[in-house]
Amino acid sequence: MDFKKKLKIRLYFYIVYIVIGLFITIAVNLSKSDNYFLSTYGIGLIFCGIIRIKKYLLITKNEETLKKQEIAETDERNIAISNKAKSIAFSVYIMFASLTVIVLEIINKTEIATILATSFWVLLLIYFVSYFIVRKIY
Amino acid sequence: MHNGIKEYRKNRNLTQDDLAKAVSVTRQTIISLENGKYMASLILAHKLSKFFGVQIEDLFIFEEE
Repeated sequence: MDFKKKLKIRLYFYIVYIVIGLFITIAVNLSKSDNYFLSTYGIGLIFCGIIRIKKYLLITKNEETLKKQEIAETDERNIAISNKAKSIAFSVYIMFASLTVIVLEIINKTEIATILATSFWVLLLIYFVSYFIVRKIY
Repeated sequence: MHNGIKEYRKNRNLTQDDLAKAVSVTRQTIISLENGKYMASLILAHKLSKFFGVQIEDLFIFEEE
């Protein structure tokens, strides 16, 4: 896929972030809810979208910055580093989540432990499914 | 395995940045290649040897243990 096209698709996602952020913020304010977490989340999404759009405009300003960005994103060493970091994060998270579930159960926080354990198992399931799909491709 | 990227680059009076732009990688990748910290993929090895006008075996020297 052409890099400019890729960036354009990302731009649409950034606009969606802003729309969702606006929707959440307006909904929370209209419902006169005290849910500051959701309200802050909505505002965060809006700012995230704005910053990303600004970055998009800076990158696409001229051909040289666009080419630099394309090289940075497709550079094989950068990709290898990113993949290695993701692998380490995944392994560490598995251990961290397992221990946290055990500790939460010990201190009788069963509901939180169940939610965490479920997300942990979903992550493992996604890993195994991805593994088999990628194995078939390669 | 070691490589002769630095020697070939210096012989042509190129900076690491020039070489990076020529083969569409970052300068950090060229630095890591020259230091032996990163091993190029076959595609990148081919691009580099094509750029220098040499065979891959001349650029990347594999020493059997």
